[in-house]
Amino acid sequence: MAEIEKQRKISTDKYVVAGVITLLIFSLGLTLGFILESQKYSTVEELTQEQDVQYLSLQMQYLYLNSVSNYDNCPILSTTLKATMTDLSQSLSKVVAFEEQNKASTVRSNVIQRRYVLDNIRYWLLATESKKKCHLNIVPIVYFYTSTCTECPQQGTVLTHFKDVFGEQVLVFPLNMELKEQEPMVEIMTQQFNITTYPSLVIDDQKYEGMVSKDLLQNIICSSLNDSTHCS
Amino acid sequence: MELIVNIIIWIAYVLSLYFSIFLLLIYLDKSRLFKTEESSTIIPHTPLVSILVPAYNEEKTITRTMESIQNIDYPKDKLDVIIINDGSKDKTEQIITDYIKDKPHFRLLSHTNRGKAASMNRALELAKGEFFACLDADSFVHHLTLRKMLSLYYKENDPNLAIITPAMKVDNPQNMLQRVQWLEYIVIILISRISSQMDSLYVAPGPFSLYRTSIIKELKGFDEKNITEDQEIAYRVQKHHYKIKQCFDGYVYTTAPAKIKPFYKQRKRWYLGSILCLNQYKDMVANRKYGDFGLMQMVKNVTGYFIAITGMILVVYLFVLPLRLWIKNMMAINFNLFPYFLHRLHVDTLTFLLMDLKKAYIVCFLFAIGFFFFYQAHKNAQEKIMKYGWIPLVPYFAWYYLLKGVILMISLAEFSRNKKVKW
Repeated sequence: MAEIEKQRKISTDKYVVAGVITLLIFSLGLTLGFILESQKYSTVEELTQEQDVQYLSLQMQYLYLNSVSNYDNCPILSTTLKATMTDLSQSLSKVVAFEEQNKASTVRSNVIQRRYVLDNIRYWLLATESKKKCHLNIVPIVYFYTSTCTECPQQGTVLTHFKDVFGEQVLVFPLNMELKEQEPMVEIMTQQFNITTYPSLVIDDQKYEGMVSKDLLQNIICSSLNDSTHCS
Repeated sequence: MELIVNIIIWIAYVLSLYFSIFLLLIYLDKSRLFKTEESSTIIPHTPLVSILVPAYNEEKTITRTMESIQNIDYPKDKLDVIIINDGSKDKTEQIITDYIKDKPHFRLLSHTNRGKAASMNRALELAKGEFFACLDADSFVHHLTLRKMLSLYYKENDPNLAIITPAMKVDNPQNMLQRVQWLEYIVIILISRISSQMDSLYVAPGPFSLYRTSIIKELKGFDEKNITEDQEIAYRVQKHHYKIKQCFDGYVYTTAPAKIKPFYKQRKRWYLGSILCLNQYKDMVANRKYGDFGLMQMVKNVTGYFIAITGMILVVYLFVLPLRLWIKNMMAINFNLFPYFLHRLHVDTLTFLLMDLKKAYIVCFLFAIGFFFFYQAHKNAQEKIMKYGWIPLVPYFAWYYLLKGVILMISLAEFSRNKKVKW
């Protein structure tokens, strides 16, 4: 055996420096994380405020329409409704998808999700109402889902596909059924349509339980629309 | 469950970050030396050097191997080349006899098949050299490597220096798999060079590691039961507080497996061998007696398995499962992706903010350090990154480590199963 047993080198300084640097990188990351987190929520906050104003405006238009009964307002209403809906689905839906996936049941994320569900319900009400009143060429679809149901991702993909194909003519209102206990409005909707399985769709007061395939949904949408270039 | 997985992943992140930074510190500390150092080819004496060449069914490459020995820049009368025909069933023996006919410094040793380590031990008994090297019959040595290694022995002037390891490169890579391995070997040269600075080398690669004969004889030669005797001897040398140094520009060219099956076989042998060696020498792990080797290298080797397994789990979580879901979803719309691409491919601040930034942040650091070493490794080995174009870089960074991880997992599974059987 070699005689150097006692003096084998230990680079203590490097162990320590490496530890300190790791810690620094880590705490820098944590700080950045907090900053970005609050940035995220303030962006979400801005979005919801915008949605509020949009909704108010839409509601005003609807009231005005009802009281004056001036049918020339219908095209304006239709444009605003569709534009607002596209906004809602493009911005907040991402946030909600993120919060659902994260499963972090913080107060903040709970409020965001409830908020989103309520937004969807009132837009749906408005959309159905104005479809009747103004004969708008749109298909409002209520989509009942949970984040754990097995066929929901596929149903979601099919719905997204038709939103992409038909653009503003197909309006999807997703309702997360996990919020049933926290949000009475969700419970009311479930009871009214007697929803027992997920995914379920409600299109023009007609209920479809279980996964609705792409072809079937295409037929349903096309029979509900007066005319569309995508229906042949 | 989710929480436990998360905690494990974070521990793996922190550990790999720590090790990378440690390696980086050593590199930066020695970067001046690394940039300017050059091996000398001038040596004060020309000691007798034995070269052992174990050969088993090597008719295709043995001539080139012997030729590379014949071309070594060293007095022929100071070379003692022992070719061991380990019971070859092909024309290996005939080829050797023909080649060495007029070369007195070559000897042929023939016996029935008994394995590489046993062949080398037998040749070691006959070896007369003060130093000896082994050269696998699928490897070729650069003509200056021996001089560079001997010069390092004289420069270090340390009687406890037992092994000098070469810088291994893949010989003439033809296909993708070989080119990816070529990249891997280049990186290993630099990592070994850094380890060498810490006296922490734990492999003496089979092809042309130069051993001090007296020390290896004192340690009773190679372990004939071990499947990776080149690792075991290095661990044993470390255990007895002898030294291993790397000759960073002493090049040896080795044939890398070109097909996935021999690649798999080779790697499984290596990885299973590493696990067995680590298990055999586990008392050195985190043992202050062994200095940086025990406290850092051994700990790193052990945690390496943990990090690799976590990495695999992470890949499944982040890529495989989402990919499966995505395919299932796309099947629901008959893969009609056109409307999707038309409408969904815009990125805004919110999309960015919603990504898993905390983990992405650490991954970015790891990748940055990885790229830095990758770049420096090519400079260190005097090679160009794009020598074989950019295409091999894609599999190297995308899935090569995944493939290695899978083989490692299989080896670990095999190890634990065998252990159970034994108990």
